[in-house]
Amino acid sequence: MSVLVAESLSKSYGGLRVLDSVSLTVDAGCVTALVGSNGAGKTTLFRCLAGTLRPDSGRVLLAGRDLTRLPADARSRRGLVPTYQVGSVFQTLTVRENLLVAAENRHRFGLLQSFSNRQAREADDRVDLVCDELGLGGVADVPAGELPTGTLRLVELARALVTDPLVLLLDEPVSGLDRRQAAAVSTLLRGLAGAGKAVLLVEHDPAFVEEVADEVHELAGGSLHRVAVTAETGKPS
Amino acid sequence: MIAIDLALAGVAVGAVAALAGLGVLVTYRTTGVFNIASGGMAMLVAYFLWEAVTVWHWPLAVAAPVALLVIGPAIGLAAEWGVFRPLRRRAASTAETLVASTGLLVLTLGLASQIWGLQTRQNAPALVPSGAIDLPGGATIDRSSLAQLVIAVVVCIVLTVVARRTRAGLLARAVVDQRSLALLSGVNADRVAAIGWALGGGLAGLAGVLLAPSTQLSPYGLTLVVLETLAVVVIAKLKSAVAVVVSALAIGIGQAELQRVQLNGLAQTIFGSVQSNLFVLALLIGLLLIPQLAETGAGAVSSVARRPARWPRWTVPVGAAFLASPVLFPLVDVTTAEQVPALALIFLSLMLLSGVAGQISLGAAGYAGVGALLAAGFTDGAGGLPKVPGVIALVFGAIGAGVLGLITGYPALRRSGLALALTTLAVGTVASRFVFEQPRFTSGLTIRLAVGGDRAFYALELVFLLLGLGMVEMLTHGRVGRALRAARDSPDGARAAGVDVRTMTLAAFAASATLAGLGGGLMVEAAGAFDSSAVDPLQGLLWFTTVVVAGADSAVAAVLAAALFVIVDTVAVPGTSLLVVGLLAALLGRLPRGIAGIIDLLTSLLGRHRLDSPDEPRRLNPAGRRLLGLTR
Repeated sequence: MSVLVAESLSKSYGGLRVLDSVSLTVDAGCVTALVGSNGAGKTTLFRCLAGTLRPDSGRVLLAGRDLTRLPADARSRRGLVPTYQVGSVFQTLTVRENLLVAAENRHRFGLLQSFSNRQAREADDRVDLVCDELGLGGVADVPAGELPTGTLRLVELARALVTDPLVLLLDEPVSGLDRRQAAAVSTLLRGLAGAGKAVLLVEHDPAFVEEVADEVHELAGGSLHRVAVTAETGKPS
Repeated sequence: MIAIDLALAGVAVGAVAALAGLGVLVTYRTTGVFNIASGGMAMLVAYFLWEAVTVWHWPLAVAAPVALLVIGPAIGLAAEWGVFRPLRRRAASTAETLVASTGLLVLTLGLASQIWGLQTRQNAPALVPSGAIDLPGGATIDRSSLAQLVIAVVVCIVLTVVARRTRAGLLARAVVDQRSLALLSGVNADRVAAIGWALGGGLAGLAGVLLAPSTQLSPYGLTLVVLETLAVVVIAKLKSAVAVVVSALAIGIGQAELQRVQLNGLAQTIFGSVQSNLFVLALLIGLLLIPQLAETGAGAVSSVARRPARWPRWTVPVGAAFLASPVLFPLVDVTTAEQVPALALIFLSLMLLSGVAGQISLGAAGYAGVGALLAAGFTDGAGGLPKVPGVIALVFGAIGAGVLGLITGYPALRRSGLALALTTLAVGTVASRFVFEQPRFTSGLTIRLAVGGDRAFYALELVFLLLGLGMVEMLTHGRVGRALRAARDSPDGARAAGVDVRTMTLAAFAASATLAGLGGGLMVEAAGAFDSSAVDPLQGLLWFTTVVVAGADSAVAAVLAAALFVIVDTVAVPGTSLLVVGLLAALLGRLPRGIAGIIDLLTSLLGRHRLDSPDEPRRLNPAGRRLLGLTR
């Protein structure tokens, strides 16, 4: 079932048409990869989906609901959660606080809610759960700015998972990681897909894409082409 | 004919503004540092020339070359060596560089006030003796104006040719664009920066020396005049020397031409402000129309804070006892102590906005001034405002300032780093020039709360300070505090985590301005009259620098800094606080995080807490280690 649908997204910078009526569907339980050469428009498409860039035309639908006019934070609260290639962890907050921010903002901020003990407990429990699942308990009270790159990637993933997203948008999730670490992230993503999450990742590394993706799309000349599917899904490549 | 004469008169102002702007531009294009301290450098050189000619009786022909070719460049070089080189070497953020630059400005003010005092000198020597030169068509131009125009045009041509046609210009661009690559290519980046600072210091000095005879030679007066000419650099988008000169001449001539228009009543009050403050207006309009400046280097970093310093626990009760007992101020009366809670509220407002929310605000004086003016107006029933009891007037003033903060928060949504800092500075300067300094709005406001004497008023101030601390505590801890800090550390990351960064930013501006307005209101009630110099834009710079030096993310630091600030100026010579704050800020490159960093270092040396080990992967639980492929 398609959870995320991009319909005829177009975006131009000046006279340069970067996205030309691009359509894409991302299914629950699948890892979908987006590949393409530098400057092909992958980041533009990613940002149009995440809500940090407004497309010139086209729509973005999440579980059938039109998100096109919603800003990035509202999309995140509805379950479309991105992580970024350039580290976007909160450096001065501890790992636990990083995750708490996401857990506490899963719903729109209400003044009364900010005093709700029940919601605070729920957020705490959720953070504990994800910290345990991803093995971050030992660094939970360490400021994120003091952690190495690999751990930061894990913190960023944990922060996204804490929100219990419908779709995870990952911009080059293994950039800066070595081969063993990339394989481990691959295992994690496969596990998430197995649990029914939809994962869309933008990636340069062909080996990683081959290892993790159910479906691969290539962006070239502003258009999208499906280039591969795995044998499991049974679709032709 | 009048139009031509006025235009020619405006040329003089425009030419000096162009020189000041070129100084800032050349430093920026060679080092990536926006030299907010250029006004202070200009003022120091102008004071040196005054001292040399009128006190030491040097001939002008000797004193002027020494001032312009030795002292000006030497000040620039000292700034490069002592302040900015260490920052550059540790790849400091734009925000840190900006703080160091404002710190340098504060330091120059402190030095000048210590050496020459705060009084105004009327007899600054003129480089070019005045005298009219007849032009074809019957118009005349002042000899000094013509000389200034010629100097500005020549400097502009030389800089443009050097930047575009010579190897030196190419190297300078390379260093600013990609310092590490330039270093690998064998470029001596330090030498390029030194030349940039020497030129910047020299040009600032030239502008100061040329301006001093026609404006006031006082630490604050001349500095502020030069600071306002930053408008021309903004309009030139920090890029073109030609655009600097053209815009400076256009504003100078425009300002002179406006003298021909005379209106009546309130319209003339407002228009009269425009006539004499076109540079300030141009700075604000330029920044509102140009949200993104051509910023170089590491890009716009909005945060000025890291994790708050770990204050020893005893500081809170000791500080509270100290504040609650003005009798502990042994040498001074309670009138001096009354300044502390007011200033502490203003510092708390900056701590909230700049320290926690990461928005660089140089315009706190504007919010404080609006709060003060409204509080005074409501207390006095002036300007058509209803007369209300003093305590309510203070609250109304704070709310009014909060509304202004909300409005000025909107431009901040599209700005960061230098553009945001300059926009807030411009808002504060416009408020000062167009409202606080206008007798129509401020004269005759003599007020005093009827709360039963100085001690009762001080107690009331402490109540307001406690309320302010409660508000800050609520906004900086728990869910809201985490969301604010998240938005400060990474706006994109915060949005990804569902934080409404836009609303958070606006709320931070409104809350901060409310606190500053309350502090301003208390300040004016304590003084008994509205004093525009207390909410001068330079005060905003000074307050911002103080809060950053004290530890931008800590309420305890903000309150203690206010107390120390007042005490230092009371027990030592007035202006000593400028010197101390300026020195600490200028040394940020060598003492990162100012006082907060020192406290952290001391507590770690005393073994109170262990600095965290860099070998973090070992701390991951087995599941995490497995996920990162650290175990099999």
